[in-house]
Amino acid sequence: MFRIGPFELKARLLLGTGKFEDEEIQARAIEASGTEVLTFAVRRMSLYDRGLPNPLADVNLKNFVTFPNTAGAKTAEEAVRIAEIADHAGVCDMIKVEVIGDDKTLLPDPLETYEACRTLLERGYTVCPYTSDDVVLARKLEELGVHAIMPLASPIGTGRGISNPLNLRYIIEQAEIPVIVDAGIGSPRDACHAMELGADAVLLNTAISAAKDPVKMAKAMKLGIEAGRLSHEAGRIPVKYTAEASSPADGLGFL
Amino acid sequence: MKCIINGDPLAFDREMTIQEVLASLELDAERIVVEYNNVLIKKKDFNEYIVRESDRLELLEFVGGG
Repeated sequence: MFRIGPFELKARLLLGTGKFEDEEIQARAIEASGTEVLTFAVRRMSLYDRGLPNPLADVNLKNFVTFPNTAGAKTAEEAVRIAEIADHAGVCDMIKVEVIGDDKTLLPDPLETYEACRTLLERGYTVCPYTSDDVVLARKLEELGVHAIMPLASPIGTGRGISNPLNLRYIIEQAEIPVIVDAGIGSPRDACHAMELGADAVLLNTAISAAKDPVKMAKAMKLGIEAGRLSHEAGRIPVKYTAEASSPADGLGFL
Repeated sequence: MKCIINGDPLAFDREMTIQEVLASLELDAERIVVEYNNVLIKKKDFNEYIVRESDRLELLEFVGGG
């Protein structure tokens, strides 16, 4: 169990809803993941091509903690506007503040992210910023009052796993608020790694929705996250340079 | 009457409520978030607001995203 603002969560997998092929696969993947929190985006409606599928339209968001993102925003002002739209529609339990500062790498803009968080906190939102793995920024956002910090593993959609485990560990060790590793996870191994480092949760999307079998991958991720959490709690052995026998050295006289 | 919807100019033969505009575009009002001249409008008020010449509407929805 962990808590983000007023929300108590059992499941440590948070799920994004982008890029699912169809609503049936999406619904089954959501179920297999065991998630309690869904992320989604705000866009203009297509006026001319009404046949465009929108798998999200079939999801009953009321059954989940709603966690819209501000994806598409490049300034604090745009991010705040997206949050207000989601809040107006009654689907903004928590807001994922995502302000992209670089089109090629999709890395977040730390200054605009900070400003957006400040405004949204003043307006009473439960605020969770998506950030790079910057240790100082994480601390300053926590001091500002955000409810969770969401550093990336690596750039969005790359599936490269954790690029800088050292920074992530520094962030986790200093944080008094939940740390949710967001973006760049490719496989359950990566998700497990994040949890072993002590992350409170992982936010996934492409790694599940673009897998060959999203439903099976959702289950694999759930298990990987659970395994990583248990391992973190159990406390792994230190890494050593020299071998150390696991069988007794005594009692070998019969050989 | 010509107004701007999602950035595009659209012509209608008369002034209409937001509800009527959505109906004429065959859009599902349940799914839509409407911004009328930069103000978010509640669904229950879609019949209260009249869309006039040069008004701006943003018709938004929630889509998959992570």
